Amino acid sequence: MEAAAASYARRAREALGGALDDDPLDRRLLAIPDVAPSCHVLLLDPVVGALSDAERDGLLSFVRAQQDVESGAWLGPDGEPSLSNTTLGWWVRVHYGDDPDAPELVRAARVVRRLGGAQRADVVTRIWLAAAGAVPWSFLPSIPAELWLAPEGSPISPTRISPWARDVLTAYFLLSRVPARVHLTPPHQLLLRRDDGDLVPPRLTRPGLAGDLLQAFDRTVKLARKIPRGPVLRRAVDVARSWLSRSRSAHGGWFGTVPTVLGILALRCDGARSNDPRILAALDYLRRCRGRIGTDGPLAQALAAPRLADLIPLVRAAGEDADVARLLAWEISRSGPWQVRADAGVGGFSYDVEGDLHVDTAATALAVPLLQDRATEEPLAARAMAAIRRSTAVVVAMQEADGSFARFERGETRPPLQQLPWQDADHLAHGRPFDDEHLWTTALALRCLARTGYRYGDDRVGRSLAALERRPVETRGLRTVAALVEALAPLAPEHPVTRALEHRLRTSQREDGGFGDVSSTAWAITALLATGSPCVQVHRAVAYLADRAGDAPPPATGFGLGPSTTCELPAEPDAAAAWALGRFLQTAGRSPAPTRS
Amino acid sequence: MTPLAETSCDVLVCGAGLTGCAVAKALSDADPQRRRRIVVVDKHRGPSSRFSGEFIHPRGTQVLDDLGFFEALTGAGAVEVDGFVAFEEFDGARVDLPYADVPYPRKRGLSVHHKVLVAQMRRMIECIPQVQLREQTSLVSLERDETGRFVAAVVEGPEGRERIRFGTLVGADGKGSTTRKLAGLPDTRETIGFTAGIELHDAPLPAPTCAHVFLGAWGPILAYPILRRPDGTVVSRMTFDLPRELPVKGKALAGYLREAFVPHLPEALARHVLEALRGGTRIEIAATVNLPAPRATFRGLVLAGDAAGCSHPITASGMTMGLRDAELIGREAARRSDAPANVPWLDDDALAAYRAEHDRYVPTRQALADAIYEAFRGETEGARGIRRALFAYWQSNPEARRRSMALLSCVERRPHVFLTEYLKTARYAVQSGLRPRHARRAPVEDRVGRLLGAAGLARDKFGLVARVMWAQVRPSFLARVA
Repeated sequence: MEAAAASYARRAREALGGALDDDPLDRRLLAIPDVAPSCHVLLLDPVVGALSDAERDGLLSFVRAQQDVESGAWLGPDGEPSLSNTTLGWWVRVHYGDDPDAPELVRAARVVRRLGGAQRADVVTRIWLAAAGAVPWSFLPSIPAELWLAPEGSPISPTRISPWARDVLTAYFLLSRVPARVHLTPPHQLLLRRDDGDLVPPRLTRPGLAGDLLQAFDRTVKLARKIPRGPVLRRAVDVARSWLSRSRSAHGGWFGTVPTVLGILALRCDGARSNDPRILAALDYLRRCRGRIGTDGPLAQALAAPRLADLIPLVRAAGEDADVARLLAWEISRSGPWQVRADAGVGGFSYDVEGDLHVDTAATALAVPLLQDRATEEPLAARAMAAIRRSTAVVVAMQEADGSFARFERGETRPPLQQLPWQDADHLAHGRPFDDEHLWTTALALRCLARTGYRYGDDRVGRSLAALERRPVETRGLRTVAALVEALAPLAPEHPVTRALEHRLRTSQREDGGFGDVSSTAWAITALLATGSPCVQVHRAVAYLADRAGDAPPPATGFGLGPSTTCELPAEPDAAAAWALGRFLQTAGRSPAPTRS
Repeated sequence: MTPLAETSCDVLVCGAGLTGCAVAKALSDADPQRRRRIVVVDKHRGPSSRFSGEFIHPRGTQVLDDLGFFEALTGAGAVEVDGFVAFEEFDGARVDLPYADVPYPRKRGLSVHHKVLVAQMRRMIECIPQVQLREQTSLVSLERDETGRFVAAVVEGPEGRERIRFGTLVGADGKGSTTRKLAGLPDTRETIGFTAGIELHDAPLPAPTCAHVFLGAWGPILAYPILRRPDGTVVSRMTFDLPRELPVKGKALAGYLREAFVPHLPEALARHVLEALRGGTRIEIAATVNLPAPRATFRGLVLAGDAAGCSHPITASGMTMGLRDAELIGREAARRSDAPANVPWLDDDALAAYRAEHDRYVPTRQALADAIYEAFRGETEGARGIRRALFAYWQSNPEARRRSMALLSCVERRPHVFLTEYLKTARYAVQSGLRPRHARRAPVEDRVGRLLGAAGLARDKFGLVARVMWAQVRPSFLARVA
């Protein structure tokens, strides 16, 4: 058992070391999204020329490798052909010299047209199409400039939408005002045309009366743009520019790869030179978001720099004091937009490495137990204690009125502007209330609160439990159920929700002792250990993990941003298994092995 | 069956803790002619091993001084303290609540290791001719005469059982009072949680001669100096308020304190506490009990100190209350020092006078302790609102701090002061509920939730406030009637 735990920990250690390597060509990605971020970076390169040959070739290899041989499409997180990804993949390949008449690209173009043409792709892809002159800017929803002049508290203020969407929207507004023009080969073959050769315009709003009215409003706004509005527009553009500047993190980028790509474009269109420090810093950030898949796989662009929510489990399972110290150095120390609606002081941990603007509740909630377990000795202990105190306050402040916990900003799942019947309205929100990601975040937050002394009697814990009781936990992954059980067992062991989740977890064990895959099994072990002494089920699950210690476990899936909704996490099973076996060895030493009755 | 040995005394004091010893001394001082006999019994030999109260406000310190204990206690290492320092959660507001601002002649309180305190006080009362201290002696039963007056008790000590006839029995045997039980009073104690205490040596307290209240954890953390050793080092007590359902027990408790409480201490102090916990410092545990004040007197029987009602130690007023009880009993005894030997020294009128006064300050103390404990724990939106309000109020001006401190340290008891303090706190609760600290645009539902929470708590506490007000203004003859 010790050997198995050591084996998993060794692999987790390798992944951790690889993830923090300075050279993008040697760096190892912890979270691998679909091809979209790589395509965006490749489309940006003609504008800024920042990619080395090796990087460009590496990213192209990744894009090519991701194409589904059979259908020719690039798939989405649901395993089905993705219109946006296929558009981007085809476009990038053709732009960088691949033959559009190659059979697989012909098949890809056919898929795009079958799905309604590139003009129906997601909003970020359409921004590229419009900037390349392939479609008119009117194929995108118009943004009234007055949004940027609205007070922070008003429902139409951009502060009310998710941080990813806010960065994208701000950049898009500035790009559409110019409007931007990028010299890329327009992907005409991907656009659906009428018989007369005109492009089929995408419907910008959802069907129905409200959608029709909004469509009319959209046209009105576009017409109104032709009326000189003088100071109002100038003021709005100034405010948007200021937003763009203010929303850059210390790492130089915006909220992940896609907003950073669009931010660079917006700055360039706004007159910034290519050697502008802001652009150079943003390009450096994009470079830090790149890495290889595995030790010698192709280069890919991640959604962001190494995400703390992916790094922390590795540090917990296999990190050293230096890694813990490095994590402490990444604690947020300046005010951020998350404090618009969350009433907590500065603190917590960011979404990605060296980010200091956007707090990530999941990363913060993961950091607290890590610091409690690993930072017990000086010189880290006292500093860690202060970080724990601040982080706990941040986690508490991120609780929504419905009892769930927001990941990045309170209200991110229900921005008022999302209620308008735009086709792209869902991009304004970050997920939905009680979706997998928010359940997961809620579980981590509750676990953090349990570890810091919160009890069931506290109304904030009670509110979460009441919310979980009102709606049954519907989740794709057993990992979320296990995380909830681990969080709730110390808080409210006798609560019906805890019992129901524990029952669901226990009945999910398979004949081979596992709970589906290595990651789920590891999480299940940790959860069952939180409910009491190691039982027969835990011993069987531990044996399952031990048997697979030599195998390369299949990657787990995590949560993405914007249109890229999921990521593959190749190192997560190793980290989870190493931690679970460590916990088991720790606990089993205190209690005898159970016998099967 | 062997007949019980029999003896008699004027006053039998059950319990030789702080209150019992103080009562014995006050009674002896009230008998300058040394005509009386006072017997003090306690079931423990030496101070109880139980971890107990150690902090005395200036009002109680004055009583200790009047009774002659003060010099001996400071000589034994007791530390004079200057007031309280309260830290709100996080790196938040620090509020100094000094005794110096309180309109009371004595400007310093006393903090002393409980075992040192009891040992010293017992040593002193043993030297009083009228007082007989019997350790390892428990109360077994009480007897009444035909009129219902308590007249005798059977006690059991190392020498066996003995019947003691008394004029008055003073029950000063703490919150788990045997006297109360034997007198037939229902046990209305409610365990509200536990307090874990550790001793720290030369801890870097932010204000070395003050009691500290650190908030933010599940329950408040208190820290105060308790003993100055001859070599100049200072021992401090740190207490952690734990829930009734203890999350962990035994050795795991140190880990729990480290995870759940230490992060809420200032960095230097946190480092010191971590070192102490890592070094295996002894963690003492005591239950925190809420005992709604029972009737304090019966014919021939007086309850004093924690036996006559106790609440959470957050206001550190328990010992001061016990000393005030002793002072009152002594005052009544002095008033009747010339009473003939064939009638009780503390007759019914004396007991009624004691009760009338006792019933005025005990409800105030209990109401304050309950409300502050609830607010400092902050488990509900309303409680957190009151906590924010208290700190905002205290930070608003020195007069606010002075008035609150006068109430907390048992100096102030005028009903209109209590009422205005309550109303001002409620006003600040509304204001602080509407103005979030960090959020630039807190959602309206958050603000409304805070407001409703604070309003709900204020409404719930209104009955308590009314009771306190009534206790203050109630005519004293009503106590006699009752």
